[in-house]
Amino acid sequence: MENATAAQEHALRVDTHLGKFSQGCTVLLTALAFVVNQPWLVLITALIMVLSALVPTVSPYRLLYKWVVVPLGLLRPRIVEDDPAPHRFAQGVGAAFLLAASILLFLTRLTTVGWVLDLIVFVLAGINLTVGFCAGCFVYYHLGRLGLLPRVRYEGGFHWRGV
Amino acid sequence: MSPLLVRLGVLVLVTLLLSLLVWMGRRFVEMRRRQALAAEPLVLEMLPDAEKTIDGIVEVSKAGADKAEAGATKETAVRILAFSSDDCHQCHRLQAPALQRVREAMGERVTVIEVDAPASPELTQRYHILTVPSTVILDAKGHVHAVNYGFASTQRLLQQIDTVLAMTV
Repeated sequence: MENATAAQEHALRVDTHLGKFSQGCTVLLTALAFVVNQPWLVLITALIMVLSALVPTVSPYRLLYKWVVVPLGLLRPRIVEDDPAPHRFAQGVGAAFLLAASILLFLTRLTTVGWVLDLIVFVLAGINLTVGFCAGCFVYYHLGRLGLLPRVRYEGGFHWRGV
Repeated sequence: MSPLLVRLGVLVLVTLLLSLLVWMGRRFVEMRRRQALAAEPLVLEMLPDAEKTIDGIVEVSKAGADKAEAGATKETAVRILAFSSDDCHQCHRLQAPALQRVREAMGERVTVIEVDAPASPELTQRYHILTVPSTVILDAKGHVHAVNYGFASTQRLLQQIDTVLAMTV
């Protein structure tokens, strides 16, 4: 198994418990915003997700996880092989939905549409939390198929040149 | 009825519908996995002949690099059918490196057979492949031991391989 351990050192990695924690917080915040009818909660969630997508190191979810959740022993990091890029993209998609919802809720009379967008994020984050299906990642890979994302050129011997 | 209760009711309804959808999805995937696990053994000893009958197996020659290596695969204890496609980003970025790490860790005990899913309808139907990447773990006799729909990590594959090896010792 030493070979296996050494072999895994160069793998792309993701802390899956941080992901689950982020999804859980998003589910909670979007649900709470809808139930108590507070658009500012939608905006706060949107801004958190914007930060998570653009600057993951200062994501409030990550900071809360790193400085509170893990030290208290509520969750322990679980590092698995995975590509972080699609997950960041998915958070960006969630942020876009919630920003659109915020605009509709604050600046227009189309509040129902705004809350529908909020509930879409609630549902998609809930699916990711419970069954691990990441709809944003699904979109990311399909955009890749259409050539809308940088394509990974593949050489023999599993060496990568450019992402 | 207060607006708060109405909103709470809507949220509960959405959650129930979501749960139903998730339950149905899980049942569907498990049904397909059971069908795949019950598939007839794939007789890889007949690889040269199989090239004529099972379309996807042609890819073996590409993955195995040469005939000598293809011959060596007949001695391996575990075979992994790795379903992918040219335009599958995740297959190339994640699954292929994970399979390479498995090969490096397990050496000649494991052979990875790459299958181009779109060009291999017979194999994709045989193992009820729902998505790419997918991996099917076969023992030396071609019996299916595990089916992974979606990306399977190095650790997961190694665990499945260990299980097969433990059963064959």
